[in-house]
Amino acid sequence: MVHKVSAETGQPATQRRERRVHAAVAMHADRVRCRATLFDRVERVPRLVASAVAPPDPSSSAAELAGARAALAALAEETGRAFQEGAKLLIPRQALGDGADIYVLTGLPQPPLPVALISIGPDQTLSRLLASALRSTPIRLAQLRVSEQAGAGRPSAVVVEQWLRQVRPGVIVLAHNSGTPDEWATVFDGIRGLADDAEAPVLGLVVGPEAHQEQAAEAIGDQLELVGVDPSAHETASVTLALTTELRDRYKDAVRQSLAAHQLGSIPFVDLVEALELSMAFTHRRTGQSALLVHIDQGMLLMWTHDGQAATAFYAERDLGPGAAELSRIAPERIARWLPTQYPLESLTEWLLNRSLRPLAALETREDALIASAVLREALADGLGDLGLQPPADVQLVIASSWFAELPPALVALLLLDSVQPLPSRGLVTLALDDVDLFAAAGALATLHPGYAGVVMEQDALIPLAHCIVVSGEGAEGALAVRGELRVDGVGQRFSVPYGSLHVLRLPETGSIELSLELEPGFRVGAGEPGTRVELSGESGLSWAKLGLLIDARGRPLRLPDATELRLARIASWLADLGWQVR
Amino acid sequence: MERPLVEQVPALTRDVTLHIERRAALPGEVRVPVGARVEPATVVLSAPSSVPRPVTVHVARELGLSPGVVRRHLTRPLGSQVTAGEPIASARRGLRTAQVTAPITGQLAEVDEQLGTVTVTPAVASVEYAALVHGDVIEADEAQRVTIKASGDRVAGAVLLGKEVNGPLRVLTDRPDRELPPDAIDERCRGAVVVAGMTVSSAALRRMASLGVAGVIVGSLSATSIQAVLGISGSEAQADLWAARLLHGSWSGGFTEAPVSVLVTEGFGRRPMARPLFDALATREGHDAALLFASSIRGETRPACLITRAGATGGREPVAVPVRDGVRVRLTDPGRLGQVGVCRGDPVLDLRLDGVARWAVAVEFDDGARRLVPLANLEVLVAP
Repeated sequence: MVHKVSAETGQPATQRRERRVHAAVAMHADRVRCRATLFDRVERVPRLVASAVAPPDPSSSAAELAGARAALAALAEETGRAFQEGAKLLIPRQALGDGADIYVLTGLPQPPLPVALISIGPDQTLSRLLASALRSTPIRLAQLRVSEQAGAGRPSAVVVEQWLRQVRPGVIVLAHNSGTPDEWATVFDGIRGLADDAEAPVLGLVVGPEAHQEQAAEAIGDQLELVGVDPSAHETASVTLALTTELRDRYKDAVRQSLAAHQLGSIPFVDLVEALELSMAFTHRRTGQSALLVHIDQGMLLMWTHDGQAATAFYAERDLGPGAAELSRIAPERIARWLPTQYPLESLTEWLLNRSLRPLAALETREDALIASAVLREALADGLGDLGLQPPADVQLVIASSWFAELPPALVALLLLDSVQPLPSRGLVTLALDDVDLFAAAGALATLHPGYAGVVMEQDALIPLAHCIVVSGEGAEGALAVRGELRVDGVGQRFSVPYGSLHVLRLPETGSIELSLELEPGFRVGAGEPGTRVELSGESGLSWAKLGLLIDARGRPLRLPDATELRLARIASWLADLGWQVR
Repeated sequence: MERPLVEQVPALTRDVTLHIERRAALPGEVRVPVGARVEPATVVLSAPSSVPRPVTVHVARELGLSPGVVRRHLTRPLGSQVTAGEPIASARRGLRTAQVTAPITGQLAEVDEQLGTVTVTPAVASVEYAALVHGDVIEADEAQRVTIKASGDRVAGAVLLGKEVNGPLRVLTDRPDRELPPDAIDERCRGAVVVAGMTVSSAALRRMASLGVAGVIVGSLSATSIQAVLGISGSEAQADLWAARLLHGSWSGGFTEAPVSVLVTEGFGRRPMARPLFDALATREGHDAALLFASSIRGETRPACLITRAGATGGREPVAVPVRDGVRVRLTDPGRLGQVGVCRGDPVLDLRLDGVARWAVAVEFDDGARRLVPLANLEVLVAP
């Protein structure tokens, strides 16, 4: 169960009559770098003009927004236009192109608010609901279970206190999962241990019966502001909505204060989650496709729109930068199974720990790229489970954020196919790269000028990385699964793909594209009948893509051999199918 | 186009001025005047380890007395020290004497005659903060912070696991690329900061802990050794605690319960200590060394080993140097972490075959190989 918003009604937060906008600048800031993107009208149509990134400064304070001005300076250098005059932003766009009519900021420029969710008692239903809702806000969520029946026994008050000292939450959420008064008392004792900390939490939310709310008021009421909700007296949806609204507002307030301190208080701020939700809702409305967004940078954000609904899961603590250490909780055996050669398991944990120490280093070696993609497969698999997306799933569009440009395109395509295991009902899934994080920029713009943002999205968002025909069914390894012909401007190229393998067909940038497939008995594409002939053309979504057209005849769900040697050979052969030789 | 950070403070700086801040978690007492010369063992601050949290005992209710007479039934006068479990009030009930015992060890602080309660204030231990370095006290703020100006050498690390410590430097190996065997650790290492070369095993760390070694400097540490030294088991609560510590993306200040402090110069796994760092440490055998978090060294972004000398003054502050020809650097991407080389030429814009452009510099490695390395993957080790 996840926090859901209606994609059909996912309208921009601010609806106002649009004045004519020529140029707009969207800034996307995180705690390390800031990107400024310029949009302007080209032949009257809003288009992406340029994007520039401020130099990363690991020594700068995490809470600073100094990078925003540096990004504007970089954009000025890139375009030859000026956007600042001293501390003042140039508004509106001037005749010679300097300035812009609107400026907007998105991203996560402040550290996400740390929130501790303590589940009290053996039943996890309520905490799962709350965790899902909290994952749709820009927070860093840490969870602890206090229950006599938990695996290693109930944590003591000292452990609770230690855990809270490490998490340093600004907000504590206490969820009643049929906890006993003793279990509650343990938690209160742990919280009381923080009473005199400079960074003690300020807000406590008690989601539980009246009796426990009173117990909380007596035990910790003088220590932090308490809000109580009895889940048996209110709809869970209204409880989670109130909670997420409060947390989003708190985050926005913190960023606005920081903007004001940098004399940028006039710039509207839209947090990354909200901006991406708007862009994904727009994409879903326009295409009607089941689409998945995988955004990795400082944290991992997954968003799935399907059937008029959207689900979001944000993990501030998981990424391949500073959050890599958190990913060391993934069992190394799970990571190793995606690698084409054997690695000592401990070295995979150490790889993640080293990555967290030097998060800005580029992944230069093939080995680093392979390990990173293996880690991401498992991190994604965990996140997709939280979204309610169980592979194989009917997904027709998978969008990867700009971070994925760090990895070779073939590895990106393979890791997305392996972790999502799309099984599109129409047979074709598109893997796309949001190479300059235009989704976030356009989503932020949409809160001010949805029409302008919509045109930008349609014109310039996403680079097609690959289109993929998924052939489902089962057969003997190596037996023919599908034959076919790709015709470009009438010139044909025949191919055949055995079961258990992938095949790449390059696609031209221009010209007509037609594809015919003859499926072997037992194999099908999308919702079609097994063993039939399938025809696809440009109208079906076939067009140029960076890698081309992939025929994935590995079946669904993907199965990896248990025997190590066989598994290593299987992974190596899939990589080789995409032109990536292991040695 | 993302432009590079072209200047960095080298990991090794010699004869520099350093400002060390010793901080107490709670307000306490500054024990040295501004201007005083201090040694590593000099106590500069003392402060309570925690804020006393008084406990209220409902004596009247428990003994069935009226609130106004509680004072008469105390077994000890107000202000007395009591230990947990010791009777603090009593009253006759028929033939028996009922008692109320102290829930904590502390002081009988107060009687509330309206409510019939007695307040016990717990005893709180005091923590003393040593200077850890030779130097002069130049600032003291709000009984919570003392700033010491020192001179000496600084070797920056990647991570410090454990507490901030000091001790004489003991160099137990002549090579930066070899693991220190447990039997090399002996009585001479008690209270010392040991230079151990490439790495140490869990067994060696346990031996150090049993001998009272203050700290150890290694090139790298395996994940197994970290967990062993920190006593992290596979339990759910321990895993949660471990994960919570890693959440911040900063290891600074974490794992202070480690029995031996470990300064790791390169990273995790089995990686030799960078030769220039090892050589610098090896020449300082017997000198006073301190292992400190970045937050304790003004202007620092990494934990470091500071080697300071009594009476030493002068030296300039560590300065950032540009990445340019002749600068000794090490690589930081996971696959090549710790490889050391020398920059040949200045940074150039490197346009890759896939169309991505980034700033890079040619680096020559010890085996004579030379290749372009992105600036994002370099740390300056030593200025030329």
